[in-house]
Amino acid sequence: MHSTRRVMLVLCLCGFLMGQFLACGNRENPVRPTKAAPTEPENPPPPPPPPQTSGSQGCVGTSDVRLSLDEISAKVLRGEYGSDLQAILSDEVSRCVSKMIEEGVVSVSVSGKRIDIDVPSDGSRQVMFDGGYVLDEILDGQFGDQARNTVHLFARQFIGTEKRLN
Amino acid sequence: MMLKLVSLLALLALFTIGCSNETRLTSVQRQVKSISAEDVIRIASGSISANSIAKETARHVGGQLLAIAYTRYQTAGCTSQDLERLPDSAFSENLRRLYADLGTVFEQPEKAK
Repeated sequence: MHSTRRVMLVLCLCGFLMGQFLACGNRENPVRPTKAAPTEPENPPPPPPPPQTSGSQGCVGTSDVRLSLDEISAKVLRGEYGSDLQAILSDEVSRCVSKMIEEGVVSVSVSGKRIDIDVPSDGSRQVMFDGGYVLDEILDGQFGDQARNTVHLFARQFIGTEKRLN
Repeated sequence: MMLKLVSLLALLALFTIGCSNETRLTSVQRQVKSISAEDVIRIASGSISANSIAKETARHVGGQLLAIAYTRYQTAGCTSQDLERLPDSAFSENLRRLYADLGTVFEQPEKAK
């Protein structure tokens, strides 16, 4: 009886140790979802065509296919017009979208390796974009005296018109 | 007593194995106040998963910014001949290509659409 108990105890301990061993193995080599590196997407864009020789005929486009603005923008953001233009446009887009978030036009949620942008559907925002912050910056003088004075003048005229109407 | 000990050890072993294969089933979504340029590039290039609105927003906002830049350039009276005077470099060449591609959109917008 005692020997049976000892065998069972040893078996359980072996099972426990085996479990620990498997656990360690899985932690050393975790199965992670495959993810493309940021610089190397799954479908890498085709390399830009070789530079055209500049002549007196003006600029030469990429292809004969006429692209839409959004398609050209996507190509720039993918780096098909070089990394410099990609950095410039992506920086501007991030600033614009961040302002849109600030204005409540869109909301951005991040979860792990996913980014979602949503438009609030509560109907509280009838205006898609409120450029009030631009006006604030003009009045702060960030765009020079001429712009600030013009806005001042326009505001005074507007207020005067409102008073006359009322 | 021995049976209880065995059961306890067996449960412990199963629990340990189960924990080793644990995967994160739920993820917490958090709202962010801003989006970085790197995130914009990841969304546009598809190297990070994003919903369709995010992809459209990145493309469309970028398109509008390009349109503004092109219109401003044209309004200032500049043409492709001015771009030709830029020093020869990869950046200049990319800029010329971009200008030419944008020109096809603005010259015949009905065909571009």
